[in-house]
Amino acid sequence: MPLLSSLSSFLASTFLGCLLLMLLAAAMAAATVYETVAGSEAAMTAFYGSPWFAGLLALLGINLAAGLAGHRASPARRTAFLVTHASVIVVLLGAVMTWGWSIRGQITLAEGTSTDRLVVDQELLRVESETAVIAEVPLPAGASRARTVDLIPSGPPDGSGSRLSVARRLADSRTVERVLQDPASSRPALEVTLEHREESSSVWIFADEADSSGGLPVAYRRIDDQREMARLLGEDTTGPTSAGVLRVECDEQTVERAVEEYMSAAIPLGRSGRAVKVLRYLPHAVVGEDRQVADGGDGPANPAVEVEILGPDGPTRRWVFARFPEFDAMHGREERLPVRLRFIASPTTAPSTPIEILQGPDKRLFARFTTGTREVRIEPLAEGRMVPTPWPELRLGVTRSVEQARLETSIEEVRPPRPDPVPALRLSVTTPQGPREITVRKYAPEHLDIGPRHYRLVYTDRQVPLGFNVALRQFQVRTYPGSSRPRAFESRIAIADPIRGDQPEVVVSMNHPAEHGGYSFFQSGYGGGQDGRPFTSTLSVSWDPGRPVAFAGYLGMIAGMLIGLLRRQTLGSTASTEAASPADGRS
Amino acid sequence: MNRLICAVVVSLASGQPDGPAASEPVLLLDRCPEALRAVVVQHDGRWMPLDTLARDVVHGVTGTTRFQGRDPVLLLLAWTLESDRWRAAPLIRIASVELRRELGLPSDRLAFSFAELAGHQPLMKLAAEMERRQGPVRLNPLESKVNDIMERLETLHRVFAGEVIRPLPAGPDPQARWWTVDRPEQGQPRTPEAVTRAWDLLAAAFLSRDQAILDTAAGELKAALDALPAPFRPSERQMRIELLYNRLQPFRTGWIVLAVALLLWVVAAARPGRSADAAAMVASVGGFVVLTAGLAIRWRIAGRIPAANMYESLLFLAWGASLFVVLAAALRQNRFVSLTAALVGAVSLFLADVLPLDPFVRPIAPVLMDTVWMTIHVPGIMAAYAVLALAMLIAHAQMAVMALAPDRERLIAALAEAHLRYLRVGTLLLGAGIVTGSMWAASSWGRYWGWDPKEVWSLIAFLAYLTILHARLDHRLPPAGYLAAGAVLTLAVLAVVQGRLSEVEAARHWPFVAVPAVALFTVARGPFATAARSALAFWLVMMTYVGVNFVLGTGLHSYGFGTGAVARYLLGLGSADLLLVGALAGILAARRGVRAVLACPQQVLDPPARA
Repeated sequence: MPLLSSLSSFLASTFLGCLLLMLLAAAMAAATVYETVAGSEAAMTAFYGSPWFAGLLALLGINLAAGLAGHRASPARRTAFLVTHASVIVVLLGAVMTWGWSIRGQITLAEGTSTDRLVVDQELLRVESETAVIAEVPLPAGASRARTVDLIPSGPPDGSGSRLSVARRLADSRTVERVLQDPASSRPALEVTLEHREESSSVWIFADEADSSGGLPVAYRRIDDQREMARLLGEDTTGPTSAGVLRVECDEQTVERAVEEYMSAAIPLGRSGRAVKVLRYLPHAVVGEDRQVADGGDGPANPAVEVEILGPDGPTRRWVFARFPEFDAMHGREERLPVRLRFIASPTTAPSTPIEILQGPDKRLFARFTTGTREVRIEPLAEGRMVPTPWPELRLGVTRSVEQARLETSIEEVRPPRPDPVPALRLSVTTPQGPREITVRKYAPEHLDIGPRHYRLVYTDRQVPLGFNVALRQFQVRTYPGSSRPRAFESRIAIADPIRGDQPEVVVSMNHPAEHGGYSFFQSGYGGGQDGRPFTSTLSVSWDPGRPVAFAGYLGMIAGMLIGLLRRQTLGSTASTEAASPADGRS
Repeated sequence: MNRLICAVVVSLASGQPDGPAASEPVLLLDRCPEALRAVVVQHDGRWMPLDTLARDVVHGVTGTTRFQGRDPVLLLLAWTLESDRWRAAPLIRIASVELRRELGLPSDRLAFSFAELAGHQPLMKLAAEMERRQGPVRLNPLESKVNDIMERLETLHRVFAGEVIRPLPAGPDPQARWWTVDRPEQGQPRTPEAVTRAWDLLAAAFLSRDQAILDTAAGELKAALDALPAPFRPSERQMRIELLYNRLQPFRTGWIVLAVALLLWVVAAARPGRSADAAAMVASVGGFVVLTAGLAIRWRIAGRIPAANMYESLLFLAWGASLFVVLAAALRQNRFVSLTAALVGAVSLFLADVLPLDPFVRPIAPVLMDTVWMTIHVPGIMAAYAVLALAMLIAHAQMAVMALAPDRERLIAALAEAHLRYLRVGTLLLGAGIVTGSMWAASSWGRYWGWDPKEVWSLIAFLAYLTILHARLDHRLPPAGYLAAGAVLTLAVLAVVQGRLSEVEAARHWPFVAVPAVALFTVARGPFATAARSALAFWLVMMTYVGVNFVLGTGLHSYGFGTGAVARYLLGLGSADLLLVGALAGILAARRGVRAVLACPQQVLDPPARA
């Protein structure tokens, strides 16, 4: 079988060995460049941890083994040859053991706390039903390969069980909010843009809500009363000192007077025999947990009046809030009296945010700016036009509007990954109703409903029991004298082991790991320590049966090379080997 | 930097801009009292004589220790005591024309004053923008230069504010920050009367340029400070050693001595003779002694092995090479060996001196602290680099002789033999260095291999040297079947890698580098090819040594930072070397045919003819 024999001699050839070394070197060089662009995790997935890279290393192992089996080195060089090359195989074996069996993880402890579990560097997807954990799917490091879980193992009679599979892992993700047109919704929303010099930021605001994510809080208020709108716009002034107007509706009669008038005397309500008096006006009313209204200060954030209704059934007191006309109804108070009260606070007393977008009954938009000195400025708005604000270099505009809006949150990939990435899993769900896609961010469980069934999807790290308890007694950052430069990070830990007994306290610091039960504990990070908070210390933990094997291989390799070198020295001149030892040629 | 921007904004806002740049020389006294030099201060996380502080500050701001030939201590004192005058003095050198243009600075001047730069809107705007950015962002070359200028300004700002000289012991914690004499901070006790008096006298003498009173005041100040109780203070002897180190500058002396030794070895090689050899030997031993003493003193000052950053590792490289010169000469090796070793030593020490590397003893990161591995790993790796550098030099010599004097076969054979010996030793040392590095990583990070860029590049260089040592064992081209299978494998790997790299703009041309390199290392045969491979492989070592930190700039090993200039030197030198090797190959091919370059000589393929 000439083909087989030439294949085996090719596998054992020095030529293949050299080629493999160079291909590995070239691929690794490419990987380091790739890493600067795409990040370490991506380099691990695309290169060092990829199947083809492992294949090249395996081929190198085969080449070494075949070379050893069919070696034809001269007896003088045999020892060095055998020891060196066998040791490299041992190193590769150690690497395989580390890859296959080692456990690496972290424990993060605050001072004074302890744990008996290890958070392993192994991600998993856990599928929980209401009652039980259905599946825990381990995800290989940086995996992109699909993993499938049967959500309903015993599916409906037609055999269409729902299945869940991992479509893709996103190295870093962020949530993105989008506002969509949805006929089912009745809430309008505006996109408000703030521009400061060359920078601009936009934010969607739903009606009757406020948002401050752009820096300055912006509120969007719909006003359905034309007169209140006119007041807010400063077109109708009831007098500069008035706190506002109280409108009272009773038996189809409406009385509307300035608050101050109700305060000086009870105002009769036509022929009803009732009268209304304002007892107190609070520019900023605060409702406590006991439902008592208290004075929250001068800031005109939540103006309210306390009203006393006098009449045949005796006096009744009620709070009326300008900004919450439906307060009583909202809080389930029964409407005992046929009296409706509405407090319209005057414009100068009502701003709750420095910027309000007002929309009157005629749908026209206005911006109402209130500066720190309580000066008010009104600017009419038109979609797409930026208007000046009272603040220097700050401009504002409504850039888009949606009449029937719905907020949709989605998860997007961030490329390249940020320094502290939040990975996410894109999952595809196959249900009898059709396929669906769902994205789960790490440590942020998502809910999934399929028909009547309810599931919880958790993307997290695997945890394993250590078999003993590790407590962090104290963490310390030692600095260089007179500076804040760290000199050492030290964690004093105590290990309580039910089998081997309690261990004396040890200090773990950089370069000084602690060992227990086959695990090694290394100082790897810390947090806290400011404002009186306790320090937290992160120890990386490893259990690696491959390490001693690889180290033995290291020693053998160096020893073999050393033997070879010394032998050559004693054997004399070597430059002629380029000529004199063709026997080595095919080893 | 933040504080500086604030200070500048305040000074601009209060309508008191600093005066225009004035470049008239400011007179100084001509002699610094020794007592003043020896005053113990706390700075940069350790205690040191004022002399070291002054050198550090003056070097940090102006880029040279002896700015305009002035004594650094006097200069530091002048900046502190006469800050108003020095604010307008052109102290900060911005050598790059592009940078001056980019920042809108006058192109006809090299040096600029604190006032000019701190009031320069484009610079401050850029710095403020960089300040605003969050997180660990990689700076582009312009930004890293702006950063460098801002650091100089910040240092000067603190000097002008009188915050840098801290000779007053604080307690009771021995690690506590020491105080300044006349800029009391919160919680600082009253400065003892004797110290204040001596300090004021010193300042008065300095300002009135009275040398005699200055000498007296310096002595009084030192005595008053030494008399203060301190929870910790370095010994008098320790300070004397550091002053000695500062004065002798052993590493500058070292490269001069080694350069002399190099010249003498050249003479000895050209005109062999007992006296030439002896002179070269004396100079070599002298260089070795100076270097060893320098390293020992630096070790003593730092309290740890001086092997923590690029500057210190270059010192070890030079030390290893100078040891090799002495050993080779003592063992009566070829003079050429001593010559090349002296060249490696002199060049690496020269580079340490002239490259923009930080020569001061600094606190080191916790991962380097307190471990025996640094003592084993760094010198081992440096020894490997030194030997491989020798191999590279000899490979060049071998290629040059083969191309220019192909008939001198005995010389070529001798060079090839020496080259091979260096390759073997260097590869072994490099392997040992990687192994010890891996063990160090296991003990500090919990894993023995983590695909960190430095680890990866050291392995790349090692694999390349292993390939050199193995490829020369085959004398003939592999059979066509092997070549075909190899080509398929190469193309497969290439396709996979190129697929991954498609999104990396900088790596578009990767196959045009990778394929010829793989082909040269695996298919080419013969002594010239071996030498060419060795010359090129050394650039992989250089990439590991400096490129990972300066070109890639990522990974756990980037403790030391440098400037873009280093990457440019590297690329320039590498390209020049590639051209040189190509030219020599071309000359040889023209004279003896392509086979002479890429294949084994005929008699080698025919063993009986040689036997």
